Amino acid sequence: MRFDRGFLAACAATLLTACVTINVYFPAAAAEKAAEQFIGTVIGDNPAPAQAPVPQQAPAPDAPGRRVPQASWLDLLVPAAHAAEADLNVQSPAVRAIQERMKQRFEASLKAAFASGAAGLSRDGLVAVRDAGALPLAQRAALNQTVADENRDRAAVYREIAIANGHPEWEAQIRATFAAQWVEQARPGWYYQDAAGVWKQK
Amino acid sequence: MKAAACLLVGAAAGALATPAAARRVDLRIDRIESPIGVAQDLRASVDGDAAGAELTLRPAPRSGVAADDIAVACRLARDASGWRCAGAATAPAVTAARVGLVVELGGGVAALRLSLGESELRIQSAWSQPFQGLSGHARLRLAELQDGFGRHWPGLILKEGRIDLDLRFDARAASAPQVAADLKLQDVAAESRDGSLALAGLSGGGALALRSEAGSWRLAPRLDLEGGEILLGSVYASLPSQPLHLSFELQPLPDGAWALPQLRLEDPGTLQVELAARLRPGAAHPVAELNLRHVEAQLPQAYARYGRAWAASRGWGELALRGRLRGAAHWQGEELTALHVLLQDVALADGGGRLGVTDLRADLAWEREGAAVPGTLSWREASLYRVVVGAVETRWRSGDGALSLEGGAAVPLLGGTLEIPRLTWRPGATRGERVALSLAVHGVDLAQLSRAFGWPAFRGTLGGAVPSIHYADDGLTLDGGLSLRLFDGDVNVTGLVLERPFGVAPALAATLAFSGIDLRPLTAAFGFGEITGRLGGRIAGLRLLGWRPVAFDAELLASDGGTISQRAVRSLSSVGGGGLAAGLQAQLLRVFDTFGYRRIRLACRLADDVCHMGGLDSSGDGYTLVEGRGLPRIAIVGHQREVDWPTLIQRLRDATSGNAPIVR
Repeated sequence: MRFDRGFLAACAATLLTACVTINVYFPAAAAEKAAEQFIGTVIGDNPAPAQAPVPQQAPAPDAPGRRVPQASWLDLLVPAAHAAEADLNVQSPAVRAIQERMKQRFEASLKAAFASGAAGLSRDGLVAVRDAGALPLAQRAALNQTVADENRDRAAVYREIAIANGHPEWEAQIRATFAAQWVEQARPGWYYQDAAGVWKQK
Repeated sequence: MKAAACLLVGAAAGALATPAAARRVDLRIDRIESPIGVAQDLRASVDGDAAGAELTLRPAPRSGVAADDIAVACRLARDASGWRCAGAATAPAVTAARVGLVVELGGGVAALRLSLGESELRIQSAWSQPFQGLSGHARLRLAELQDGFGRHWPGLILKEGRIDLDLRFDARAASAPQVAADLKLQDVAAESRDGSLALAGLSGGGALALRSEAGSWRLAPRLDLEGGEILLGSVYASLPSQPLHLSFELQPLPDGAWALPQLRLEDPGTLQVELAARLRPGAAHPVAELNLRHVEAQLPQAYARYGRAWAASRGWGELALRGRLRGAAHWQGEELTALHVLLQDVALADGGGRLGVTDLRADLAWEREGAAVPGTLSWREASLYRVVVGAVETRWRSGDGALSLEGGAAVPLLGGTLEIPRLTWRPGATRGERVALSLAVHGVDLAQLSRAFGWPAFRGTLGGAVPSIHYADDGLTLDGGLSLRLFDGDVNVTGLVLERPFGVAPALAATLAFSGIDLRPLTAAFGFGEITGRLGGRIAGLRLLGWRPVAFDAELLASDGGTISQRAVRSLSSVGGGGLAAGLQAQLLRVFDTFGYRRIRLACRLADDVCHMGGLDSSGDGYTLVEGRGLPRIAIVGHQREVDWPTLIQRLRDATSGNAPIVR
């Protein structure tokens, strides 16, 4: 018995199609929300920082007045974990430490660099020196360093968020989501790169 | 500009040699040869009478004049001392501005003055046959010249500063014709269009020579620079006020590239550089070839002045360097083809404690193609984070495009040995395959390692082999594994991946499996109370971020029974986040020092800062961590399935440091 070539081709096509239809759901909305909160905290637009919510029910271990008679003393010692709200978690201490550093860097130097147009938001979710011509050389060198530091932090954040959520392969999507959010939350006058890499002013 | 000026003198002279009796004279000059260049097919006309005429000079299209479209118009007048023609020159291809022009002839001297704003070029020459030469002065205000300059070097912006030149051209010199100039720079600032390459506040003096050579020319300045700043990408240097000597030669090549046959830079007592290069301005890789013939640096000064900004932009801002570096290197395009490094008494220390080395000496040579060259590398002590390794002397051999460790190396490491059987560096290989490295560790004392990292006092030894290490995307993947002999048991570490080892929040991933660990010394090391018996289990998917765990799936199991002290019961209870089983009163607990147990199992899956706990069994309202044996029989039952990790760690810390929770 012989299969004709068309049938074999159809089988092959079916197999191939079967392969590519395996997809992993990327929580785009959750990622957007996480990026929005993260960036809002860094650039100071967020009144409530995107940090671990403080456990509401757990009383301090050494607050005797609050003890419930029936509860085990150990329940007082170890508060129950709070459930994370978003599907995409950005809560590890290392990432929070990076976020805090980014916030300080933003206040100390990047805010002014964005406002003057010396630096802008690049399309890959990083920061680039755009036009440092107006700065004295020493400040230009300092800006180069600030941008390099910021980009190392950002790259680590994107990667670690992907890994913390069990999907290292999401890194590129998380980066893209952040890139869009940086532009979204950019203040008027800041420069950003469009999809073609051309600088535009918000 | 100077070349054009010389031609103008010649052309004007040609026109005036004709009697000006007629009201209008038209001239066509086929060819003017001068030592500097050749002009062909010039048209000139003189219109007027002897008292005052308009002279216009315009090269015909496709003439040999470099600036395609120079036009000169001046009012010709005669006075007692001779002829004078004052007007303007335009050269749209050179500058949009009208350049003021005065030509004077008289008393056997021809003089030309070109002016643009405050910038000025004056040239005079004795009027004699044969032509003997000329002298002049140029006063250049860089900002005024930007327009013209920018048309030829669109990538470079002249920002400010002044350059003064005293020019001499001697046509009688036997050697190749040469324009020589004394040069003075004041606060010169120039930069690339994107500002990434820049000079500012550059002052100094020197000399330059412009030589004509076989249809081309060569510019050779020699400068003593006093102060100023230089920015080359991420390299930034604030130059010292003591003079820095710079000399180079620059020559245009027929293919549009520029040759830099030599460049010497000497910052006395700090840095000496000698190089040659071929440059292609505007190309994707502007440096087509770079031959770094010799570099010599006194590291503390040279690093502080030239290296610090570069290192800082790569995350090494707190690096301190001492010693002396000499070397040479050759790049063809972006590809390294030869390298020679000589290090003497180099000490390196990172303020962040990531890396350190003392008394580093090296003499290493490598060539992409070439004969084998032996080399050496040694240090007295090196440190990686808090791990200190001892002295080592290594031998190297270069050949077949690789630099290889010869005969391996054995480095003293925490009471044991780190062996490096293979280390090969192949710069020409694709990224990620440039370094081939294998490691083996023998007999490392865990007590010393624990002390170095401030861990509880583990006892045992560490050994293992890593047959190959890959480096790609700032991540190190270690094939093979390490095995630890720990408290009479075995721990196998596999799947080791280190990301951003020196970067932001270094990440370490690994999987651990262990068996037969003696619990008594382990619990003693942690100050946990005392548990006897043997522990096995695994920690899968361990990930440390900034050296703190952010994820793992751990299972600790002691299934052969043993005893557990009262203090350990309390410590373990705090881990479990559960309570003591009903039937055992807290008061009673205080009566007994130790209890028997049949099994202990503690599972924790850490994710998102939350530990999902598990024990031996799982019933509706809890999970058993310790199943007792004998009398009084205890059972420790955890009630919280999800425990906040930082809180858990804090409780553990309190429990093990003696601040154990008090049972009432």
